[in-house]
Amino acid sequence: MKNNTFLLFLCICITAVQAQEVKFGKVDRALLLQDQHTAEPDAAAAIIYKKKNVFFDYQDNIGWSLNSTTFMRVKIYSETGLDHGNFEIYLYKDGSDRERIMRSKGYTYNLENDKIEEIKLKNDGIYEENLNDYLNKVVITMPGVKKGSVIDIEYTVVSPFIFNVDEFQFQHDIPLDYVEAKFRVPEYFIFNKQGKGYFPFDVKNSSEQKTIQLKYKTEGTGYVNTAPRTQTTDITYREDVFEMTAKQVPALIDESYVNNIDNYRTAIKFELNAVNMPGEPIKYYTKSWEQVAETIYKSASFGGALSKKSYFKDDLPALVGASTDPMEKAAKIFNFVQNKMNWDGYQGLYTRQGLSEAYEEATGNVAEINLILTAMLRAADVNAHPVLVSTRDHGIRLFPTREGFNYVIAAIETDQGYILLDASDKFSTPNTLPDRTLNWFGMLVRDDYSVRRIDMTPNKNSNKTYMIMGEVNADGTVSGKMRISQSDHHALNHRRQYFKTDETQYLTKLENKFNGIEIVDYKVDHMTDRSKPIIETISFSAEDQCEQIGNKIYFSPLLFLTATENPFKLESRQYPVDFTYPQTEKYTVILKLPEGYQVESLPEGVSMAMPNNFGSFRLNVSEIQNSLQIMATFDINQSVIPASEYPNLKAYYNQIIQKETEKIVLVKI
Amino acid sequence: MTPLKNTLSALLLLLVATNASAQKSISYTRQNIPEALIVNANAVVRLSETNITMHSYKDMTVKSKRIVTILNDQGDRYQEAYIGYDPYVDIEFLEASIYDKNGQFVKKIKRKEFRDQSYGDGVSIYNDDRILFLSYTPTAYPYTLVFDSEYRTSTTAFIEAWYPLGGMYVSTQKSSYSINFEQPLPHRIKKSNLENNPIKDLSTPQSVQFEAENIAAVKPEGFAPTFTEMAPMVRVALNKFHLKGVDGQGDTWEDFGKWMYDDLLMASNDLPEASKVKIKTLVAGKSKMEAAKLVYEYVQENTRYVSVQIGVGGWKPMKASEVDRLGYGDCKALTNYTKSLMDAAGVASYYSVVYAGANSKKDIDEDFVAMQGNHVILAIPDEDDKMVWIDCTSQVHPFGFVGDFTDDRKVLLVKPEGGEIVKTVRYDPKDNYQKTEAEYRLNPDGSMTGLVEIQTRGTQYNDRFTLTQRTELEKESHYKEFWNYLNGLQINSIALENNKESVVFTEKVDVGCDSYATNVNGELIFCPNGFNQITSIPNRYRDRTMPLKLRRGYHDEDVFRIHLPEGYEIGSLPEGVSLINPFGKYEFELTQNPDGTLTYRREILRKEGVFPKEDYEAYRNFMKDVSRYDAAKIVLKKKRS
Repeated sequence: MKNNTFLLFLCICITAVQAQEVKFGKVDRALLLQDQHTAEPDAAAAIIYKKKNVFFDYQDNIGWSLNSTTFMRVKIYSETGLDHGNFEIYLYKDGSDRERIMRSKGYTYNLENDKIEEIKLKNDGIYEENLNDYLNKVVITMPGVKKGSVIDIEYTVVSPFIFNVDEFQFQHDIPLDYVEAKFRVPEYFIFNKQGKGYFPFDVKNSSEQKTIQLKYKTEGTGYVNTAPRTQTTDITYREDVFEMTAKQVPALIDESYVNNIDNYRTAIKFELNAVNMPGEPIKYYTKSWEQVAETIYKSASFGGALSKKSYFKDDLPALVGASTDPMEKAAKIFNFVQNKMNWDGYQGLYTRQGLSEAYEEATGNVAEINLILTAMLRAADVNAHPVLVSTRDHGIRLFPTREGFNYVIAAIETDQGYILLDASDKFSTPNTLPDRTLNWFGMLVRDDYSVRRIDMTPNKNSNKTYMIMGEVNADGTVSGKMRISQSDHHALNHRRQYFKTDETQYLTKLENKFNGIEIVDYKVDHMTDRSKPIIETISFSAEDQCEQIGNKIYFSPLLFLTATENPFKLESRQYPVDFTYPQTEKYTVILKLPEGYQVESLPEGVSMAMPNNFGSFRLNVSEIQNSLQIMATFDINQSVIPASEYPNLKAYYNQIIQKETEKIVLVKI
Repeated sequence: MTPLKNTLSALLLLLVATNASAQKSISYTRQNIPEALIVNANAVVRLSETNITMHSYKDMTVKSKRIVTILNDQGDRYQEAYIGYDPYVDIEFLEASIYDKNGQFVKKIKRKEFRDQSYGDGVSIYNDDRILFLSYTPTAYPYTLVFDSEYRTSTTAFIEAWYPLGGMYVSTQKSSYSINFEQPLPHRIKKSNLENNPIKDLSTPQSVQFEAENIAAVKPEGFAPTFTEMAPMVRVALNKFHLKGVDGQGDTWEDFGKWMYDDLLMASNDLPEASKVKIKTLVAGKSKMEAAKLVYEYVQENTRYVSVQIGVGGWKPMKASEVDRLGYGDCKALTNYTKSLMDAAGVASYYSVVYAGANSKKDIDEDFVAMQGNHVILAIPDEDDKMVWIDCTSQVHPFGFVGDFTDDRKVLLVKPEGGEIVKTVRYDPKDNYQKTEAEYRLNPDGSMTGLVEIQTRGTQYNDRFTLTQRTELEKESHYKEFWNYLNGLQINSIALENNKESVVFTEKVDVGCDSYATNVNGELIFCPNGFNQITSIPNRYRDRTMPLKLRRGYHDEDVFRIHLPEGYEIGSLPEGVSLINPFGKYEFELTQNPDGTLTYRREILRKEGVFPKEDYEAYRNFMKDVSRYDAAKIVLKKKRS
């Protein structure tokens, strides 16, 4: 794990936030009259106030449950903000345990002829939909919402899943003026907390005494002739209170080249660490990523599954044959599992049907495929271990929890380091994993539960090279041959995208990409041989690459490979730029000049670099007899570039485009 | 034991035996697919049988068998082993089996292994439609999937249509379709695009029966008719039918419309008295069209679009009184509500069913009286009885302007006396107008500063006017994408004006660019057309198979005044050009003004229409020429001192 990229995400400062009382149903006329948000005048809507109260509730016969009450005041500024009059709440369920909305109330306030009119939310504005076996969705549609409306809404979710406390979110896709959240926890439950995001919020801890009445039945006894009766007893305990506040939180706006915008959302997460019931030994849940990894490994559908070997025992000897070298055996087994197993599209840390069933069916989720791989490697005496991973979609959980990981790959440890394998993807190669896994860190777990952190960010640049041998004709057309070679992640992504794609369709795409050249002939090598770079050989003719003005011909040195559009157009940037993996592009263009023309001028060579060697670019044009030789190299040397470097990055691209669009000028002799 | 019983049990035994062996292998292997069906195909439908039994006008059973050989992973989407259902559908049978490329049995998937989930339509916050579907992960290609299903429903308003060709990149070996009527039920049949396809119509007065064999796969091409515009299809509708608990009827549009009005709309027209009074006050003393406009604006200010589809509510609008109270509804609800308000204002208006969509102008099929359409708009006859159209789901469109979402297509107008098919407003290419005027100054260092003013009308107005709703950052991004050929473009200020009365949108943008001109050897090279370049060219097809369809025309005019940098003079100017062809016209010219400035004038008119496939290349060349001329450069050289 590179610490510098890690630190980018964690920037919690503490500021004092002044309390500010907002009461449900008491809406200010001034707010109704407000026609734009003070801090973000172009906001379509804003959350003026949000209050969330989460506490543990004890009831006889039921036990503890988790109650969460949310109150929000929302102001609608424009037509595009009308959708903020609909509220979506997801409720988890598992068998007969389910979360429920117990109380909900809402009003919409509008100013009609200078009078405040209120419209009440009724049951017909609440819809609950069964999404699947684990999730229901409730939509609350507020009545009478229009431009200018203010909405007050409050609802309580009661959950039997007391160990799963949802993240407290303090940042939304619209601005939030003031948020306060309270989490009250009986002393029996010990939670750890972890905040994230760029925007500061305040946390205060306190505690108070709480008393609950327990009812229990005594049995009747014969001696003194007592009947069974209900007795009550008071229990007093300490309740820990966490109070969180933030104000003037800006809207969270997604940007291009962002790994997962949710990583930057200001929020706090509480995770159960231990349960300490009176008279019972303290029970610890999770504490560190290392322990999380151990817990996962110990579960039956992970480590338990991994220990079984019988299902492949007939295949393994034939597969390994006489090989004794661990790497040779590993290569054979990896190829075998990658070819045999078919990913059903599900991620996950645990097996679903079981490894032998998955093996039998040749189909499985990610955990099944890569645990089969690990088990077979181990059975062949290769030093292999599973690695827990969080995918890019799953984001970054700064808090050690089992939910922090959602994916498994395999690793082989050697004296030199480790080799990462993912057999769920048909085109992945050792250490070149699919993009979805290139996130944060992974946790390698050995069978003695010792662990090793693995940096999932690729360090090696993925290469793409272009080579053109062509000629510029007197009529301004260009024809010739081009060879494109791609390796590493470039090759993996190319295979994933275009393997089995209709070739003519792909060629049309290429023709458009290369400024409308016509592809006369096309050949691709090693499309399926993952061990080699993909080589595409293209014969082309191109009409509009040169400008003929008077007796001169003008063209850009890289012809149709010229970069013309800067991916970074905006003036400023909030979040780091994520390129997924570092990359290098190399260009070699050799052009024969037309009869009767000579070079009038050539662009000057250039060599430039971004600060910290984040990127570099070189271009050189030279004339050799009657032909031109053009060489260019473009590098982005790091997967993630900090937002503070954005102006440099944008300027770097601008300069590259300026340089690449400079012209070679030929003149008629 | 009687001989009969003996025979029966022997038969049963035999049946079981056949079934058991049938499970082992099937004859649908990769080898016996005719080569012509492999071309362009990712999957081949080996057999598709749909047998519908009409027990009565409100009871039908649909039994289907589908055998498809999937050739590669792109073909997986044609597994199509699913069944949609709602509270009015009973699924009687559902099963799938997988066979490998040699026809050997691999596995059977029973009903309980199908996934059950709500069928999200992408717009509704709630929808009671659900789907049971199979998502099989293949272990090898090709493989064959056999899917058998049977369901019974009281909803006969939608009878499964027959599509002998299932989509792009899929061919059909054999497909059949039949409807058997257990009692005579008057019905209508609509056949589309059957000609030029190997299709047999074996229908009798008592039954509907079609068969097709060996239909090759097609692949998509740009600027072509949509798949549904070209695909063979047979649709059947009953004169008397049932729709989620409601009876319906109509064998002419007049009757059908009457039924819709009486049974689906009437009951929803229940605006409370207080609201009627409010509207009457609002429109007092106004002319008919002024009143209509005020009502529309009232709806736009007081409601929002929220879609909830439950039971017959999928076709019947929510009551006007409820929309009045809640302030939201779907297209049916909001249109019906607006109509009720129009009634109160004394303005006649008609609920109109339409196929909405900007990409294809799909008509309500006039020859086929049946439930059609996916959206509802409102028609208001003006003083000359010409229809003015409004979309009641939009809070922002000007009165009488529906844009490309519902323009120029046949719709069903529902009048109290019955239905009527009419056509919505058409925007002529000349009406879809954009005028761009700019004045910019080029500096000796190659940089540029300028002011651009863009005016748009018609569908081009439609493309732009919602810019006012965007955030400043989104506006800036829009212009940087719009002029993405200008490297290093800066947007200094943006002023937008939406004139809803005349339906004209005006954008004034102050721009700058550090590297507008390229310096080559002391000469400055730049493109005079800075603000309206066409840079994309239609795809090249090695073998075009479909006609050329240009969907919507437009007309652009550009005038750019260019101030040249101090100390430079013209080295060379591109020569103007004027092109005219069946697809439209294009011209540009450059003139030198006495004050030393240059004026660049450009005009492009792109017509709409359908042309034979042979014309595609000509059209492509036209656009190629346009993009070349749009990129033509001026060379400036240093003045000799």
